Amino acid sequence: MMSSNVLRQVLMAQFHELHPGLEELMTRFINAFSAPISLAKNHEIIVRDDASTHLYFIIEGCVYELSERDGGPPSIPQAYTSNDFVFNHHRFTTGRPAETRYIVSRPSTVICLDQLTLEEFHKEAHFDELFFVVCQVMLKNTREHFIHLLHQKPLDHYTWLLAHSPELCSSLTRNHMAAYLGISRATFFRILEKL
Amino acid sequence: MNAHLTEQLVKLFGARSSHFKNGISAWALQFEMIGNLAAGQKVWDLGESKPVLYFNSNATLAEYSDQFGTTVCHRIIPPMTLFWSESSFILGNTCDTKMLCKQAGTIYGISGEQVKQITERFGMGFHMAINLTARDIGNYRKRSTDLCLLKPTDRLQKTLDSNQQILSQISREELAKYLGLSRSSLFRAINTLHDVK
Repeated sequence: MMSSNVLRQVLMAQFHELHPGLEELMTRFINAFSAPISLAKNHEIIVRDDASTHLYFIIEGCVYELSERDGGPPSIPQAYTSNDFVFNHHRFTTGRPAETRYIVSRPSTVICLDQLTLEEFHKEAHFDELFFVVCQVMLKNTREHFIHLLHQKPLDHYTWLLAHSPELCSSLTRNHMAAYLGISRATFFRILEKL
Repeated sequence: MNAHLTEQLVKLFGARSSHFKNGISAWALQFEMIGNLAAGQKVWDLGESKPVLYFNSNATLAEYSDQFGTTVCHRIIPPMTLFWSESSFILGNTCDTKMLCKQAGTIYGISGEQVKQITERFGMGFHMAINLTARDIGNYRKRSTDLCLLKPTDRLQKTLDSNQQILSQISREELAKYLGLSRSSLFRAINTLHDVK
């Protein structure tokens, strides 16, 4: 029940007005999510080459997206914490299977909308309006991370994260935080020394 | 102009475009000329409400974000492309960037209200909005990955591969910020590429 309320709040924050038909659809959409699922550290909710489109919502915890390219250093294009949606972004934006892995960084609790149920919702009138809101939330997160990478030096970026997203800082290992900030492990350790 | 505009709109609907053929044609007809822009003129500014879908006919535009005390060009809009303020058109807030004309030309636009009316009349739903959002998410993910993984020379090379004109469209200082580099790193990267050629 509590997880439903949180999900509703996240969706409602994006709606300026909600017509009665959509209110009923939103209630069914929220109720279609699974009961809270506990996930262990290092569990992969989306594996590489995965074409699934399950929609996850994090109640508590952290999931990071790990990109490992041949011979190159790993990168973390995105990390998700409580009240974020986790979706197979590569599949969503390109139609192709995942090129990254989505890994639980610490014991976490999520709720999940099965892809078959999501497909059924997509066939319903007005569901695209609701799904657009989910997309808006995902765009906000992706855009925010890009803006931070572009505007802030790694030290400032990390300082900002410590102040505004302490959950993320405590959930990622130092190696993963370095990858998330787009710097080497050695550079990240120098930042930690400065702080 | 109309054929190019329709072509761009069709791309937004992908596989569903044939299903929404009449609605797409109605949209294309509703685009009106916003103006002949001179270099330096703004299409939108910070804090303005601009829920508009624009079509850039022959200008070159650059979008700047102003955050954490720095102004950075983060997107170039080449001719014959659709563009929009993500903050205003997609997220329903006021603009959090400014869009400047770098090379003079004409732009067209259709208001969000007109988009909504045509969408409702032709039963097009939110498919375009979802596709625009997916496109934005995809672009940001690519740019973020490039910023994190590519060396300065590779960043510059990749940018030049996708837009050969960028060196003449924005200043070197703006290009350095666009690539997330210092000015000196950019010049080293330009020299490296020059030497390789």
